[in-house]
Amino acid sequence: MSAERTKKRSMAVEIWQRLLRNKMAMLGLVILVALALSAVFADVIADYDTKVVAQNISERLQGPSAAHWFGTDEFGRDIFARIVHGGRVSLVVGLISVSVSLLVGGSLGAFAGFYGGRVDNVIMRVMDVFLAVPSILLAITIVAALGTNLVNVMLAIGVSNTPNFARIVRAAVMGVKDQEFVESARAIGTSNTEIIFREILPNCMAPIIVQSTLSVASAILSTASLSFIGLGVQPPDPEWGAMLSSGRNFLRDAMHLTLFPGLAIVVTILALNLLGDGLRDALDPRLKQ
Amino acid sequence: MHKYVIKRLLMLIPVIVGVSFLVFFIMSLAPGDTARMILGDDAPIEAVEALREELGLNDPVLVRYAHYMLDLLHGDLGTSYKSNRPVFSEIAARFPATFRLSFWGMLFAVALSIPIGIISATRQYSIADSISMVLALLGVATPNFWLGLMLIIAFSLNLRWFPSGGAEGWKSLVLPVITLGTGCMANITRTTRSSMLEVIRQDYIRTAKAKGVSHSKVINKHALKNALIPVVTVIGLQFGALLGGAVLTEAVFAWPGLGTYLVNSIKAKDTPAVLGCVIIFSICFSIVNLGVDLLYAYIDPRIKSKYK
Amino acid sequence: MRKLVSVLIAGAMCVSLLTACGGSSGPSSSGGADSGAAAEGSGAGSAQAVGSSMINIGIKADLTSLDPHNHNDTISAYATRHIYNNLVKLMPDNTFAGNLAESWEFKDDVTVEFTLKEGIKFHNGETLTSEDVKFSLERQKESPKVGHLVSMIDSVEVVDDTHFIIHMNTPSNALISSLNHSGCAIMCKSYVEGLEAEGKTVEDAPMGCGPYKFEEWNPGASFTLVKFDDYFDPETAAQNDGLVFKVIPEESARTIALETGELDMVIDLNTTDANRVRDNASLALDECDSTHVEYLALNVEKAPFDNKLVRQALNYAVKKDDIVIAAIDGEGDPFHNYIGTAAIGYYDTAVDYEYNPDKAKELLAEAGYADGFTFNCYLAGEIRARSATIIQANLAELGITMNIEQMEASTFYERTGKGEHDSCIAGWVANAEPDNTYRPLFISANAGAGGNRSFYKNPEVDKLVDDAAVNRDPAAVQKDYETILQTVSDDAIWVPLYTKKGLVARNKDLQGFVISPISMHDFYGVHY
Repeated sequence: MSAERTKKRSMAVEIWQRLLRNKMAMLGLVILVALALSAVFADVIADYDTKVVAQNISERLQGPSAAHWFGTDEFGRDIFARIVHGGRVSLVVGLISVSVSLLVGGSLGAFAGFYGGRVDNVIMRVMDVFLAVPSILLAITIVAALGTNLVNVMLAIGVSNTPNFARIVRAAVMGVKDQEFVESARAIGTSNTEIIFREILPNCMAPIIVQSTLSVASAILSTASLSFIGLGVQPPDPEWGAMLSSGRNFLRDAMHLTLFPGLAIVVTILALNLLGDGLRDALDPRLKQ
Repeated sequence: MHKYVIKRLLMLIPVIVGVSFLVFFIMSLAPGDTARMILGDDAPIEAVEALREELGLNDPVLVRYAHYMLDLLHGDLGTSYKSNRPVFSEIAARFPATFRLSFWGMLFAVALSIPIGIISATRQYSIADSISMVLALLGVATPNFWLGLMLIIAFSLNLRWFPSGGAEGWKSLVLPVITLGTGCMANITRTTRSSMLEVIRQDYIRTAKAKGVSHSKVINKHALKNALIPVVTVIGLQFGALLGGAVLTEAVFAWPGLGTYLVNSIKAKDTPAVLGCVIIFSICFSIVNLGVDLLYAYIDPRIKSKYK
Repeated sequence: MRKLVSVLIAGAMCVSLLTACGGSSGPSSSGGADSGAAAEGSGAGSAQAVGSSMINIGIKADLTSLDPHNHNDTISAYATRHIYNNLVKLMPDNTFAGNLAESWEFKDDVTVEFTLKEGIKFHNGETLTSEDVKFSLERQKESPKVGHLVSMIDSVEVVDDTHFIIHMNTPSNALISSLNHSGCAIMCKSYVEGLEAEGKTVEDAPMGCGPYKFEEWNPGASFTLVKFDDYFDPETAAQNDGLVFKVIPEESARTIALETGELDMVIDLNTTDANRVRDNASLALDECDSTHVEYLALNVEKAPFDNKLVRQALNYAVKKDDIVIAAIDGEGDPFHNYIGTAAIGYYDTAVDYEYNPDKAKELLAEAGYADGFTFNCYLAGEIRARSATIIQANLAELGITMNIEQMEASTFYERTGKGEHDSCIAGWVANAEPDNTYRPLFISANAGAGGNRSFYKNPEVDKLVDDAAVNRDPAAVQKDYETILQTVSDDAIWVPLYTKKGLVARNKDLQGFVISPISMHDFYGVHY
């Protein structure tokens, strides 16, 4: 028993050491940690009442300057301060909603791909049904039934992305499930669930990691449309997606309104991507030295 | 194989029933005053009540659903609350535009992103790889309205090369196709790259290389085919999403597609119109997904043997 | 014939597209004054373009119906008001003149005698008669969408081809103004009956006696009307060859299409773009005071807004100047009245609470809310969210917490209709009949879903609204309305915020456009 645990620990250490050697992955990790820290210590970086929501109509729509690094928005509020505070919502919503769809959709897809036949048919046809329900409609319903808090935002985005993850994981599983290592695991009597999660999934991480990291961006972007229907962040609280979309009207006069929140999203998914690629390499059983 | 296709097409029936049931009840759960939305602010309460009665909005949900399904059985998608016209003809008027835009958008994305993905994978960590990654990430994080307006400003307003909107002639197609395609490219490029990387490392590729098969032949013949499954999946998903309407792109380019129609219908709580769209979408998605599944079989004969 | 016309239009569009692509500076039209340049830039399409002057008009949404009895919205009315004519029309000085009607006379409070103009032709060549009027109004009464406008009409009695009598079931001042509404369009009896007998609908081929004939409708994209040559009235006859209404939902894209010359006019210009149009030497901006009022409605049934002092305090606390800038880029004015200045029924008797936070503080203390309170504000739409964000900041300075709750418009109607809100932001655009403004907004019976989102119930006001609706003495009506405005503003059931200008942008060479404060623009006079 304790030998098993030691083995597991040494594997984790090994993966971590491989990750440490990957410079790009480390860069991604550093950026992510920096983003997380800036969100956690947002109040230290910029005071909420005096910077984030304080309006100054006479200074509206100003470009970047020493006083306002990222310029000011349509109410004369400091965009830098709003991005720092907005990260609190956007990062959490982006990461958690994608985790929800990854967990639910991923498991369903894995089972569908592994078992095939009737199981596959039933799960995937249910997914087809969900794919056809417009996400806005789903969100409106969730507001009506469950209320408007942030958890429900993540639920709405998570549920609407679930069929995508199901299809991607299913395809990946179908591609590897007949390979030799699966056969040999089965031969020594490993249970199906164990085969799926221990043998198959680690071998088809690539498309899953790509889909997850990129979905974070679209999840953050879609929080904006949800806040218009009352789900989630309401004025004056900042959030990246909403900042981007409210800058839409001022695109020709004050592009910085959309530029900086857009860049914040790009940097986030860039970091996730770098880390994700590194993680995949580190996890790849074939790359063990 | 034929049997499998027929079986899958028959599965459309439960999917449509499921979708219509779900959406019908969602629509009846969601708050919203349809009659007031149609009549506007200044209509008296009596007029609103009368319209509600005429539209049958006062009937119990189950009764309305039963009526709807009966009509659907006869191939009738019902009448829009808002416009009082048959939903089928409203959708038929808009679907071709949606299809045209999705098709060309997808073609554009696929034509560019698969080569880029392959180059990135074969030259992992090169400058070309890094550039393609940054571009892909920019593509996915850029909202369609932003890219669309930028293109309009550059190519319609300043250069006057293309019209700023509308759906007349090939010229009007260029900017919306680029806008839509760019969003999809990111996903396909990244998936192609990572699947290629995965496959390149597998033993049989190494073996082939060791046997002295030329590099490009290895890539094109062996690696690509096996890397295609996730790529085809992603393309299918994106194409399905595009067929469901690209609301922001449609709005920016004044493209008369289904996305705008659906969103307006949801806002107006026009249940028959929403249901009509959703049923059409579910058919599209199902067919696209069936196509994707058949492609799996074509790519990987082991999968084919399971389709009975 | 229709084919030929569409070829002409296609040619014109082709030309406008080609010139737009040819790198010409400044907007060019598809014909008229610029046709020389157009011919140069194209080739094939040029021959048709000479002498053809289609006016391209940018609008934000598609029409819902071409049947005047099947819609009640401004954009559909752009089409139907040009295809059909009404008995009367609203003049720029806010009086009513005959359109199809030569004259009318009130025989008593419930009987009005009308005379039609002679020899008016429908687009199919038939002559308009009293039977058509009777048919149209009776068909309208059956409509759930615009029937309520003529609910006062009991029957239409045909005397002869050009004379008829409207019998009302109750005295009403709203009859004439209602007859000007797009829902009261006059249709051709034999034509409509013929269509419906064939199983078709009016939508398939709308036909009236207006200055334009219906040409085509591409759902979601555009609709086209062409000049009717046998139109009866030279003064309101089309001075262009036709109108192409192009649907461009995105605000900025609509302005850009005007700048590139793809459009000749943009209706309801985005306020963000107003200065851009003013600064563009080849464009012009038509502006007018409108009948619009944007307001924060306070639900008087909810504490603390059941307290008049608190409501008045809010009126002192809101900095309307900032709202005008943040919400509509300064393209309007801070407002204190309850009906737009350009509206029939506007009187300057409302109490003006000027921005005075100290006074607000005093009133709050007096009401027992010195430490502030928390309330919600329901709203739909981005512009209202911007207004609310300013109000929220203003009130925060007084220790009041306002929670903004955005929602879809249909959800907004339902939830405010039920009175779930403490306050909400709404807007009102008055039409040509003051009763259509005062009745929904202020009477007890309309509390909630009827339009009175303050749930204000004052029997005094109810009585005045009823009297103004039927009293034939204009001075008495004026007195009624003046008193109402004074009462509701003193009761401070709203915080009126601002009134937005009407903005129409156009090519500067385009002439003959008269902007309408109630968005009932006429396009027949427009030409290069």
